[in-house]
Amino acid sequence: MSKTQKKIEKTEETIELSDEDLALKNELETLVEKLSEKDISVQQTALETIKKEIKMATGSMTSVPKPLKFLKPFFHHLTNIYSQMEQSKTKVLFADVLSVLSMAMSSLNERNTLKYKLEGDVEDIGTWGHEYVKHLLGEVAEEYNLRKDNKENLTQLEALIEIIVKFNMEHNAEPDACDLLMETEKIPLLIPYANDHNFTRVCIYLLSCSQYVPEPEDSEILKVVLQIYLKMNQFTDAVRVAIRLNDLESISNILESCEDELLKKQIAFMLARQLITIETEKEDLVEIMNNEKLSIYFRKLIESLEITEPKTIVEIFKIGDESQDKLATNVDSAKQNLATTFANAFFHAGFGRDSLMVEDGNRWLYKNKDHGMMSAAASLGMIFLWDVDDGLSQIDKFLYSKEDYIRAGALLSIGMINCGIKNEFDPALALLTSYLEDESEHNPTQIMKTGAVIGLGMAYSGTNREDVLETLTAIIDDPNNSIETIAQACLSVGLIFIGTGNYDVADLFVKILLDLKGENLKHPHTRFIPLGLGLVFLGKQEDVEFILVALKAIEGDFSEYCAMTVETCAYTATGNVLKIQRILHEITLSLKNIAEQKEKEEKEKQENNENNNNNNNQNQNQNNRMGPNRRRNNQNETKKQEDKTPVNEHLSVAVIGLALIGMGEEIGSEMLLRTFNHLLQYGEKSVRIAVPLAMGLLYSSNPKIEVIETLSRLTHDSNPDIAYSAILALGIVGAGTSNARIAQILKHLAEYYSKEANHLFLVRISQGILQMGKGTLTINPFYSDRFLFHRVAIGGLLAVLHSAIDIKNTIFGSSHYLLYWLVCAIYPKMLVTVNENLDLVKATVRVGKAVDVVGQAGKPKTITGFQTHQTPVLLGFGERGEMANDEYFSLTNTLEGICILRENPNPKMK
Amino acid sequence: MSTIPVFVKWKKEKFEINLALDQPPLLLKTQLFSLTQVEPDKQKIMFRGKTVKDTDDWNKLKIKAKANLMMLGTPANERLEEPKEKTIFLEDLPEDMVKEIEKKDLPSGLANIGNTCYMASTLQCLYYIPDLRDKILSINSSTVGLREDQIAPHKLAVELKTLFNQIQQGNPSIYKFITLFRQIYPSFAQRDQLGMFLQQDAEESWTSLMNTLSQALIEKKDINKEINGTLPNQKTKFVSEWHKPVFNNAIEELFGIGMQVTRTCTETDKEFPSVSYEKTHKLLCNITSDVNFLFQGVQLGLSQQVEKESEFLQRNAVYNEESRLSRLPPFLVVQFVRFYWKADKGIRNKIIRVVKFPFTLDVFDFCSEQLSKKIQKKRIQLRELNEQNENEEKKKLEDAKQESMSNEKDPKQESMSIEKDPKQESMSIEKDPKQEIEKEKEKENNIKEISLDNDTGYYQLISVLTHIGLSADSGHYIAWAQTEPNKWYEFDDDDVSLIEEKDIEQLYGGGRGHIAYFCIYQKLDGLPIRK
Repeated sequence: MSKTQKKIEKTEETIELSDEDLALKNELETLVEKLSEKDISVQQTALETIKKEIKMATGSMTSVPKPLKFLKPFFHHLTNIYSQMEQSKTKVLFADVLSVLSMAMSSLNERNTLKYKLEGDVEDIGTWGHEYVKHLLGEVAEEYNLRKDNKENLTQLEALIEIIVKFNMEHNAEPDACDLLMETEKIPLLIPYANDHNFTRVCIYLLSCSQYVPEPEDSEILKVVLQIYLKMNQFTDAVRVAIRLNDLESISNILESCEDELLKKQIAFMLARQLITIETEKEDLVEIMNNEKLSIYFRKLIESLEITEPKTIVEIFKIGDESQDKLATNVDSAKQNLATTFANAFFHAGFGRDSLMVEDGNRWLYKNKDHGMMSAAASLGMIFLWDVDDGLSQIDKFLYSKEDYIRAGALLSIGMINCGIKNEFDPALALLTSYLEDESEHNPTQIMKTGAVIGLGMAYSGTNREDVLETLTAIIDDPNNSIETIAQACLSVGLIFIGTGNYDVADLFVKILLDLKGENLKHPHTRFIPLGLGLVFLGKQEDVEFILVALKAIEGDFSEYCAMTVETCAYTATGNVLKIQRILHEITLSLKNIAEQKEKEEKEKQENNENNNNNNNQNQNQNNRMGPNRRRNNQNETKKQEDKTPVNEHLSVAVIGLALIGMGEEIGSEMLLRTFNHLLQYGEKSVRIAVPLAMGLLYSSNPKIEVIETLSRLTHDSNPDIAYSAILALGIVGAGTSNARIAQILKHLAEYYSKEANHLFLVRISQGILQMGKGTLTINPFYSDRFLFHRVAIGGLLAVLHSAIDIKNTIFGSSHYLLYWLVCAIYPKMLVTVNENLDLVKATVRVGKAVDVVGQAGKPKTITGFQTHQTPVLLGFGERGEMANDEYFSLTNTLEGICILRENPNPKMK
Repeated sequence: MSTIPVFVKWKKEKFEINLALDQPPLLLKTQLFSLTQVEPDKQKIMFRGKTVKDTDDWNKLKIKAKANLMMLGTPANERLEEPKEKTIFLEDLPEDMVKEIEKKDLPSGLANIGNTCYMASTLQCLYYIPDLRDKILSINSSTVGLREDQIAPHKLAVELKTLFNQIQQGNPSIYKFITLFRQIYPSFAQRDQLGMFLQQDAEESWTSLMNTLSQALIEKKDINKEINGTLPNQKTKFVSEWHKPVFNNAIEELFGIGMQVTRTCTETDKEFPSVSYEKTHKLLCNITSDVNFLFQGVQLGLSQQVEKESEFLQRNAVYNEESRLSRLPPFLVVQFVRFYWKADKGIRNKIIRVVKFPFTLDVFDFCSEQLSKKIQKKRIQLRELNEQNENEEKKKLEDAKQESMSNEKDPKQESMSIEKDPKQESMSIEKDPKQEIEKEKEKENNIKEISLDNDTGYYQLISVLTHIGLSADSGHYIAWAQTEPNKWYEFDDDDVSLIEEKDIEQLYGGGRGHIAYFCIYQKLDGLPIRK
């Protein structure tokens, strides 16, 4: 017999039913007939047999189990019999069977499964297997919302929901339970069912869900997760959630309820990262929360990586031998020296050593001009970042300088050193305040005040310090101060009260904004006032509405600008689609206006052209003969045309705002990236300028190849403003990664733009930012498995990006010190392990790309493509660490930053 | 008097000091002075977020025993002083000085003084031909011993020398040169209705300039030898095979191409093909619809059909004219025949077809039989040498044989480099007549020893002259030249910028951009390096 014949036989079998199936079908048919009889006992046995058959049937997910398939034609018949039956145990059983049968019926809207289940044995749902529960769950959710809308009685359903949740939680179907409860808004029901086996899966599922639901549901979910973690005594995880919720009360409760002293220390480390201080009498905890030892840990990290040696500027810029002669011209360019200053500062950030400033700083200081001196003096603060003891004494000598600019820079750097660090002496406040009083012995000039004000903002960002507010309010209220100083003071206040929504502070801001008049409205620094206000309401979502109403009272176009700034800040990292849509709409609206305007102009032009046609022809001949001049003229003409288009800076803010809202969530970020590509093609100038900046915000310290390619393309844009922001964005995207691709692009750009002072200036700075801390630092605000974000870091990034909107008047002008706001975002991307005495200890860890394990069954691997290292070790963006052996236990599940390890008394392997 | 012990932190040190509560803080400062050498008025003492002032009262500050204080201050000897010399910043200098400084880094450009780009680009190309530059710069400005018809060309050459000197120093002006040039060639002095000088064809100016220079650069001793005084640019014809053209002046030494022309009559096979020798200054690259590469275009130019009188047939007949190169100059100029006369419009129209030109050109296939044998020999030699060198590197062994082989080559290179240096010196240092004569002799010897001819057939691209626009008499000319190996510059009048080698590939043509008009190649001594 040939093979084909065999095949044919087989197919015939399936169509014609096997003997076995035929028998089953016949049996079921007789059972249905039996059911039609009026004798209850006959019905009972028939039902039980059917139930047995259904339970025994093994069906795959894709095909309907055979008993159900054969019973399908009788469904209506059966329901008729059922409806005629009198209430009895048998009827209950019958209801159950019908409920299961309904699953095979395709009529979705009738929700028969649920209908008959409610009439059947509600307690027992597991009999029919997971598939049945899932089906039932779907119908329950639908019915529940329907009844709720119609305000019908819900108790019956609620009981069923509890049963289903209980079943799911006990049978490894946690995501289903979570989905049902989210649908019916009863998430707290989960808490009693959480146990050792399921809480991890439940929590990560809920946490990732919380990113996709609108407010206030997201915080409700987080609160439930927090309670589950607390129930399971997972204090470090609970703290993470509490930090995300920005719920100081819960945090201090957690700290109090935790009895393990060591665990408390670990929690303190986590709080220190977010700059949260909880009042406690325990000095060791305060010390940790004050972040005092950050510098020590960071220096240990670079020691173990053997990168402590400073590098010369030639090494930083990777300048080849040929071009080195170029640098060695006799005349110093203040601009290029300033770029060198910044690059050197960023490159050696936190190192306490460098090749320009520390050894022979005075010589280099005078290689800078005016405001450049200020930034040069301030660069010392970057180099001694976090190192309060050493840094302050190094900076002190600059305070005696005769140059106001140097003293201003010194004041700024005092603040910079203390960024993120608290100290019992409060040196920043003590020193800086004395330079802000007009009557003080120091005779502060305006520029010194500006330096001091920024210093205060950096040192006390995220601390909510009322005494600092007082000092700054005095500056803001003094009309003798320049708009520059006032604006920086506002930005500082915004950073200090970031994300608090403090009403008093908000009042202060609204008052200043309403008082702004005339020239001040257009000053390039004015933008920092609304930004400060926005930062106060960072992530506050709907709370910001009343402010937006108040802002409408501002004069002219600036009102729009303020509203856009504040609103986008309020929805930071929420992924709020409605807001994104509204902003995109606004951007396209302005496009329409422009298009209309252009049409008009073109019409006019055409008319003119007809008149001047003859003249033109002659001119053209002339042009042809002129040769070289023609080309330049054309360039000038196009330039003039570009300048004519109105600058809609609020649209630039809008684009940055898009990134702000969408940041921190992978899918949203990618969707925005696509949108940005559209904006690049169709957007007007102020939109296109901001697109690179927005990409920088979205992918800071996360050099994604697509982003690099787009930015690289834009660095050659014929519009210099767009090229500027693209060059800066390249630095920000690669910040602290030393990404080879970006390094190559920047090196090429340095040659390409060797004659363009402004371009080159930015390229050099970007080179410094790219290699920030020799590749040990990050400016990405997201940490702890990208679950938390550092508000202050976002604030710092925004300050730099907003100044880049009008880069010619800020960074290229005299306000390049604005770049130092980046310091607020800087943090080592390290994994440092310490023992119980908080001394550094070497542990073996695996570091690899983080894998998304949400919703996966069992215990899936959390990292992939890992390498084994000895701590301390660097963690790149999207990387995760885990303990490689059981020599130590980590006190936190998220191995990041500073982790306390406890020795395993009896390790299995070594 | 009550005292309490307090701790004062200074830098990384910590002092324990007994603080007198009823004394002003000045006392503490003097105590600290003895410990740290920081004068009291330079000390800043911080306590609980405040700086302690001299007028403060410790009791009011509520200081307690064992309290921590922080002192900030720098001892006098560590304080900074202003540097005596003030830094001068580029940004502070007046604009013209900035320009000068900026230009220092770049080769000089030639400012356009009204449709002079054709000349500027020609001159830039010439300037970056190192041997020619050296020749021009070593011209003696005295006119003694020149024939009358040589005086004008010589004057122009001397003017060119001045211009080259200016380019070297970085402040060139084309004005004097071009004025003189227009005097000699009045056709370049045409003006339009407005009195502006017209744009000219760079090819014409190139040819004219070459003519003049070849007259000017005839070495004095050769003058006597030259009997006929024929213009060297004209194709000098020699009827018989053994009369090969003489390349008797610097321009011909550097650019003269020897051609062996074979004419075969197509209308009868009874007439023997005639062979003649001619010389020219440049190869032409003809562009037809199937020319995509420089190579094809040149080939096209080398085999043509001409009509001429046949002695055998006693009437005009069509001849196949096959040209082969019999002498390869050290610098090979290739001109793209991009313009053709369009009678109806009265302009010279441009062909914008893409014609790719190579960075390394191998002309082996164009050579006459005799020359190709010679070249082939040299090439095999080179290849062997190359292989040996490679082997040497691999094995890292020094074989006696290899040494002898490489010795063969070395003296040449050395003599070349030695030859150059003294020449340059002689320019800058005051000329000692005796020395000069000696050097002249030395040079002569060298020249006899080594021929300047290209003996490998390999050439390397060193500069390109491009044109943008629709006809030769309008548009704009630009020079692109390599000033040192792998360093290309774009010379757009006085706007000079560093470019990358791959930017040259944009000049193949096709679009509306700059399209190569002239390519100047320099001979390669070794084998071309494959990239």
